[in-house]
Amino acid sequence: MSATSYKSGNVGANIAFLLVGVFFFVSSFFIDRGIYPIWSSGMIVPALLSAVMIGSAAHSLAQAIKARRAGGAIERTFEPRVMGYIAAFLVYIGALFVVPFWLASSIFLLFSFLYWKSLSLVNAIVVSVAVVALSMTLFAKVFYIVF
Amino acid sequence: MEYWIYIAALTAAGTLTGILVGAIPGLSATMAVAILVSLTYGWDVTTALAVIMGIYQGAVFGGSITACLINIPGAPSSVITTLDGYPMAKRGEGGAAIGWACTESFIGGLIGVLALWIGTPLIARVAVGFAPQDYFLLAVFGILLVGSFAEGSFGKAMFTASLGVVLGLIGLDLITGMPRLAFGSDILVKGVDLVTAILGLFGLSEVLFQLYQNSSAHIIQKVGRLFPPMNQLIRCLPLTLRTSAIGILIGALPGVGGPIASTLAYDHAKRTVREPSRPFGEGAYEGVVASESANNAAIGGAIIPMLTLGIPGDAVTAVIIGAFQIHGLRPGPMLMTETPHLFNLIVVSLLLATFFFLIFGFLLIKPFIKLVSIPQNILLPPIIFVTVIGAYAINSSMLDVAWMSFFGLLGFVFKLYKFPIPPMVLGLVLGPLIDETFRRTMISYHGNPIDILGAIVASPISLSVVALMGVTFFLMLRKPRNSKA
Repeated sequence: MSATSYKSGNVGANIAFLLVGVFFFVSSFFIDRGIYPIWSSGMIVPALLSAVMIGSAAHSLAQAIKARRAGGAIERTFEPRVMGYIAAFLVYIGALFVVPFWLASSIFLLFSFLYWKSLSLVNAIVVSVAVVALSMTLFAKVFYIVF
Repeated sequence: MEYWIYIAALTAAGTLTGILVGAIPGLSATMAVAILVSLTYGWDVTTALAVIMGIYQGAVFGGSITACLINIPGAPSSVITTLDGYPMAKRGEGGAAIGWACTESFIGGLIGVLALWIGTPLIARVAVGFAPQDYFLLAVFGILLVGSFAEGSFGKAMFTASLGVVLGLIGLDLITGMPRLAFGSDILVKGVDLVTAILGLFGLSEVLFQLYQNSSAHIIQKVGRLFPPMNQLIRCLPLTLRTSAIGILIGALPGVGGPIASTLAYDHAKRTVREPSRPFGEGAYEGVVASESANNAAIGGAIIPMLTLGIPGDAVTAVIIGAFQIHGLRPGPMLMTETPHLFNLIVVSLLLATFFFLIFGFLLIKPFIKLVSIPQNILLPPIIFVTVIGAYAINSSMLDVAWMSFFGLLGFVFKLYKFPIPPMVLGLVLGPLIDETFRRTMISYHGNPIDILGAIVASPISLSVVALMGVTFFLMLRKPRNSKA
């Protein structure tokens, strides 16, 4: 996959943020008001603030469109190498629910060092095991709960 | 006595960690404190606060090391230090630049602690008389200020701040007791845990973004002479005192903190120093003096509104409020009367940290430089692992790890598209306060805006808050001069 296939750019991101604002704005109208009038109910602050979100995102979107039309915008992209690493991180978080903490963490650290080509295989194994072992010693209470 | 030796040792460890973290570009004081806060659940509150205060003081100074040596500020409050610190290093005065930064951070830090010690009890006494509308005005003021001074677009900062407020309101409504924005989910009814969110937003997202940038800056290893000449130090003392005062005042404003304090102090130095050692922007000592004294003085200032009003002075104090919450404490005017020993502990820890970073700064600068030269792709993966442990440690729940991951990825997307994260954290902290005080005000005055306005005009406290807002916006809207003289 090429980097361009992920190129959503600032405009796409701002549209997504605008939709988040709209979602919370609409949702705030479904909040139970109880016995309170609208101006002192639980919906007033979420409704006002999500309206601010919509306005801010729309303003930011307008700026992004203007910059894109002017041709000088530097568009940030989701690069495959970073997306791949995030996917691996999510797999790691999922694995924590089923695999022992130390095992999943050691493998993830080893993978990280190799993925970012920061250490050779032997060094990566040594550092990963050392980091997990050191953490287990320092945060013994946490690890006691995990096991 | 043994107790204070123990506190001193913890503060020293925190300061050392803070200098290291602050010196590594991309790893901020906020991130270090966020990770540590999550791990302090099982600790005694005094132990946790001593280490946190050490990290806070150490990291703000630590940020100046790489600002001077490689033109990359280790912390946001050191951005202005690069303007003259790096030109000094390029002239072969890297050691002198760090020496100036260390000495001035020390003096600024001492003045900030003094202001904290004197100012907090006075403001706490006034704060007891604050009405809901005063808290509401202050909280909104804090969010607006952060929005005004966020890098890039005001709209983006307001978006993240508003999202923070709305996310902070998910869960049970404190006034009605009804679920709000929970969408029928038992998980959402419990609300968003502040520390988990902070850990993801400042910990995981920072690491992912650093890996995304894949930066590998080359550190200048040769630093030369460290100690600034005594006659120059004495000559700069009046400037140090003035810029430290600016640091305290700006730091004490809700939601602003060190980066703005150092910017305004630098601007003040340029306006008032008639004969700088060199032109500003070309290695003037006075530039480093202004920036570093102000950003460390701002620490004492930022803690004042946190302790007295429960309103964070900057992003780090927003995280420290999370530490208080973990230990079942609520910062505010009553904290001073109910737990005065914690106030004394904070003052003593900050004071000790100020002396420790002076000592460590001069003695250990060379090993520090070697340590911060370690490539980031070796340093960062273990930090991801620590954020996962930290999230789990809060409630011994994998759900918190999932929440932390969600906020980490959200923070990464925000960073990618230059949406600032600190306003979101302030929104999370201030959201419940804004909601509660706004609605209590509306209930008290039956939603009548004329009555509310009348109450604000009739109350000296409310009028003072409004005047403070006006003066601050006026001062902040004055554009600083260009960096080059």
